[in-house]
Amino acid sequence: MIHRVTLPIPQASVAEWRAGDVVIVSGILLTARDLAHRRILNAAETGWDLPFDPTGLPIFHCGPLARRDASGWTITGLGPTTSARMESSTPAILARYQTPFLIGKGGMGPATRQSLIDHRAAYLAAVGGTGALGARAVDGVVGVYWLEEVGMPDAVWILRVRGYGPLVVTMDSTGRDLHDEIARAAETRSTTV
Amino acid sequence: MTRREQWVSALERAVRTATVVLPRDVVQALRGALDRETTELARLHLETILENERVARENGLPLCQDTGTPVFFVRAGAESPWLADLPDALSDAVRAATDSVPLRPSAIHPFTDENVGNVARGVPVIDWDLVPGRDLEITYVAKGGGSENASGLLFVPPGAGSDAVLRAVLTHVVRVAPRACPPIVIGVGIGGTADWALRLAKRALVRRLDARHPDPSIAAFEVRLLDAVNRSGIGPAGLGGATTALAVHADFAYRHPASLPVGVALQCWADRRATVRIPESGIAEVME
Ligand code: SF4
Repeated sequence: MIHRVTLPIPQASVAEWRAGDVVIVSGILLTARDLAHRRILNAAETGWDLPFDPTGLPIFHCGPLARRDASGWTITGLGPTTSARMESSTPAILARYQTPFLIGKGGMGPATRQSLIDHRAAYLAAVGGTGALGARAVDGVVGVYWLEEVGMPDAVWILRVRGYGPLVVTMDSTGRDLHDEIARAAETRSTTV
Repeated sequence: MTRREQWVSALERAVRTATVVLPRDVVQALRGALDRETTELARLHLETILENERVARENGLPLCQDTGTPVFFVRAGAESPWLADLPDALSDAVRAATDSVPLRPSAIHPFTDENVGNVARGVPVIDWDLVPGRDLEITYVAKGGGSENASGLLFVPPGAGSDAVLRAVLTHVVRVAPRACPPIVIGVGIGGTADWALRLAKRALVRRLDARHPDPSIAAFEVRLLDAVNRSGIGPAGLGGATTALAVHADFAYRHPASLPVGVALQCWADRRATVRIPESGIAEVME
C-alpha cells in the first residue's frame, strides 16, 4: 500500500500504517542525530528553551550535506544515518514532542518499539545512501540550529520536502518490526550452511 | 601550472568523480541484481538506488550525504622519483574537494567531538603498498561510516579449515550487513597477523567487482561465501531480497601455527572509487 501524505498528519492516520507499506512525504520535518537528541533532552530537563519547537514534526535521523551562498542554503545531500544511535533517547523524545513518525535506517530497539506502540507512531526506513534523491526532494531550508556548536551533520535542520521517498514502514504501531523479522530469518538460514 | 598544482587538480577530479559517479562495474552489478529480484520491495529499493545514481551523475551531486572518510590506496613504485611529494598533494586535493564538491566535513576529534573538516591527524588515510617499478597508482575510496562500523576481526580456531573461516565470516556479515547499506561488497583477509588480515580485507575492496582471486581455492571461497550471504534474505536496504552482497573479494597470507586471524571489511553499495596514475614523467592522469 502506498500512502502519499502531506504534513502535518493526524496520529490516527499514522496508527493505520502497517509494516511493509510505502510512504511518500511532503511538508516540514526536522533532522536530528544523536548529539541533537541529547541536546534536546538536556534542554527539556534543565528547563532551557529550545530555539525551535519539535512538537509534531517527524524526526529524520540524518546529517545533511549543505552548501551556503548569497541566496542561502542549498541541501546537496539528504539521506538516513544509522538509527540505532538514537535508541536511548528516542522514547523520551516521542513522549514529549508527539513525534508522528521517525525516518532512519537499520531500525531501532525494543524500547523504541514499545514507545511506537504507546504513542501510535511509526518508524520508516529510507534507502541508505540515496542522498542525491533526498537532496532533490528538498523544497527549502526553514531553519538550521546549533550549526556553530556541533557542525553541519549534527545540527538540527528544519526542512520542507516535496515527494520524499520511497520510505518503507518497518516498525508500526502494532509492534511489528521488519528489521527484527528479517534478521532472525537470516540468522536461521545462515546456521544451516 | 606547477607540477604540484597539476597533481592536486587531477586528484581533486578523482575525488569528485568518486563522490558523484558510481563506477560502471557497480552500476552493472546493481542492474543485474534488479533483474534477479522478484519481490516488490527488493525491486523498489534497487530501483531507488539506481535512480539515485542517475540523479547524482546528472546533477553533479554526491551519491550519498555521507561523503565518507577519504582513503587513498597507493601502489607505490619503489623507484618513483615522486614518493616524497605525494602525501601533501593528497591532503591538498582533499581540502580542495571539500570546498568544491563540496564534501561533508567528517574528521572529528575522538574525545572532544570537534569537527575540523576532512584533513587532520590520520586523515586522509593513506595505505602504502610498496611495489617494484617507477609508477604511482593512487585509488581514492570514500569510506562511509555505516559500512566501516560493520568491519570485523575474527579469530578462527587454527587448523579448522576453509569451512570454519566461511562460517565465521558468514555469521559476522549476516549480523552487520543490514547496517552497512546493502547490497554490500565484502572484503575478507585470511591469515597473517591481526592488523594484516584487516589490511588485506580493506585492499581487497578496491578490486573490480567481477575480478576473482587468481588462486583457485580463494576464488572458490569467494563464490561460496557470496552465495551463502545472498541466501540470508537480508536483501537490498536490509529489507528482504536475494541480493545482500554484490561481490566477495578475499585475499590471504600465511599464518602463525597458533593463530588464524580473519579480517572483514565491508563497503556499502555506494562503492565510490577512482584512480589516478603518476608515471615517471610526473604528469598525473585520472584513469577511466
Ligand atoms: S554506509 Fe555508505 S551508503 Fe550508507 S550512509 Fe554511509 S556512505 Fe552512505
